[in-house]
Amino acid sequence: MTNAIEIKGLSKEYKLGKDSSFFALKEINLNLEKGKVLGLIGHNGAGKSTLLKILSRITYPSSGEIDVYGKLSSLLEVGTGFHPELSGRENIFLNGSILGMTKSEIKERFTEIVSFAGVEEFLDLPVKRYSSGMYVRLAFAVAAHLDAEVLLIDEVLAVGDAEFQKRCLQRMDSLSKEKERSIVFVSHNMSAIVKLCDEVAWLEKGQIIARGAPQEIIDQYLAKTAELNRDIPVQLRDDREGDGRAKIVDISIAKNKIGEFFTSSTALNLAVKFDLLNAKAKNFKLELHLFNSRGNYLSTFSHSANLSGLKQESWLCEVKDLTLMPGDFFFNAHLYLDGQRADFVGRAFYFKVIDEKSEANEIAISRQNPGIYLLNSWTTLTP
Amino acid sequence: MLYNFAYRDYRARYAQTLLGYGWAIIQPIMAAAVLFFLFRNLLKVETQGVAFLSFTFSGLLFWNYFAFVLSQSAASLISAQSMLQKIYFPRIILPLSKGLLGLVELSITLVLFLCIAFADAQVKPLGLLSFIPLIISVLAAAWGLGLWLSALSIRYRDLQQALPFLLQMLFFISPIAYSPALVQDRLPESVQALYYLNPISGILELFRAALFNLEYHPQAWLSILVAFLLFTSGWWYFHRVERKIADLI
Repeated sequence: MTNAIEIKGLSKEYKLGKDSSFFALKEINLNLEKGKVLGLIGHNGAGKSTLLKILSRITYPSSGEIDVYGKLSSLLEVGTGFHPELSGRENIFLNGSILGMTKSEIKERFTEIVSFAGVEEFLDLPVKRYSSGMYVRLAFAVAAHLDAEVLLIDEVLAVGDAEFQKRCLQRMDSLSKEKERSIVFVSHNMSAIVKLCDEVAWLEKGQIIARGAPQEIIDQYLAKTAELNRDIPVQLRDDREGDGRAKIVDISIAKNKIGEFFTSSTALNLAVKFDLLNAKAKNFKLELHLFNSRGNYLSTFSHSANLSGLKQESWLCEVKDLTLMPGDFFFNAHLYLDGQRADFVGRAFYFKVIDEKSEANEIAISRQNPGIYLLNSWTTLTP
Repeated sequence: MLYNFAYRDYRARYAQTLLGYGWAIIQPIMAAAVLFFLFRNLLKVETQGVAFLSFTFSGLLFWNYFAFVLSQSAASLISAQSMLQKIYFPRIILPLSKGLLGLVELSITLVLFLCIAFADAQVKPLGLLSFIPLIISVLAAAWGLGLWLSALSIRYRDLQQALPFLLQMLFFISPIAYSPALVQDRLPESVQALYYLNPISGILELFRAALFNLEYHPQAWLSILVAFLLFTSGWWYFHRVERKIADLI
């Protein structure tokens, strides 16, 4: 087995003042085999981006060693090398050359890049006239068609629509499987990590605290995240996704004030409040995805409407019969403006369902994987 | 890559402007007109016996390129901040590409200058050949200072404030619209060489000497030496701090 990346004892220290300093990365040891995809997960500020920046030579380590075998290219933020005044065509050549391609290499792949991005008709328009979706697609297309042996990709899936995200994942998958390209991939999108990665490393406070098979590490990570985020109010959460045009500021129980507890088959009334920061959008869609404590998806409550024009919108979601088995549940909250995701808060609201009968609660606690309660009745068939 | 960066700036510079290249013609003409009024009509300065317009324009030809490359390259890192933190490429390309960008306006000014010089003054056509090595020397000086300032301004943003002021001072102490003798005659012989520590003064004097068939100070060559010293030291310092750019900016 040959390695594409070897990292030994890597640390990165930032000086904060005269005598204080802060370790963004501490004693990292990591290898990546050729042709494999490594996923990096961890909370904001864990050091994922710093690690990618060091790998791509944007910044340098304070100590330790890095060896990268083969040409490396990175996509740390979509479209940074683009110049808004230049046309799509010019930007492909410009960006390609900044990322290390020669003119003839870019020419060779030009049609492929353009068709991947789907911007054929707009090639000679300045990119400042592009929609944000087109912009992102073009930037990813250029980076994804580079002839680099090692590719670093930071959270590009947070932007763009579902269809495009799917194509990005497919492209990365085929790069690693068919062309033996090695990829380091940072994302908060756990399903993308599971689909794409051969291995996952979990970073926390600048150190790798777990490493192994994707599903296994992600389960550990999500369990830890659940604990950490449980008591943080939605408004203060900073582990958000989406383009940030609006912000979900409150999710709370309305009307019946019985805390977080519900017995099966009672009503759940959720009040959702969101701030429109500076967004100029016509309509919105709110989606609440219901999961059980194990993280299994159960259902979606969604609503779309035109925006009222006020700075803050407040909506009430009524679930008449909360037909759930006893146990812990949570919602992920998504907010879309004009069809583009503006905000997402994972595990935004927790609640517990308990049963009148205490033994049912005990079973729920021991199983930790509650499901849906379906109305059922029993009659004897014994003659 | 150098070319691509310069092309990027070039397109951006003229995008959505009404006059486009027209600015490259208007600017030196306006400057020459003001200088003509001030230095010739009011102050009546001496210009080594060369027609005032030709003399001044030869000065502006070099000065404009110098000032453009210097100010652009000095600001090049700070204005590309987001790119520096997200993409890797050899950082030195940013300040160096400004030298290429300046060639657009330089060539327009050069054509303008030649029209004026041939109409207005006695020119030795062969002397024009000296333009190439001398403009390269000016470029070296502008790059050198630009490299120093761009690398230093990552830590000390004050330099961004100081630069326009520095350029203004340099404009007035350089013999652009007046004869170098104006200054030299007032200096004792022992310190006259110091005048050529300013790369512009010596380079201009040499160019005019070649083109208009004039005398020049034997120590004017010092300016070329200074220009290349600035360049090599700037290059050295830039490489020394290159690794820290993304962290400090």
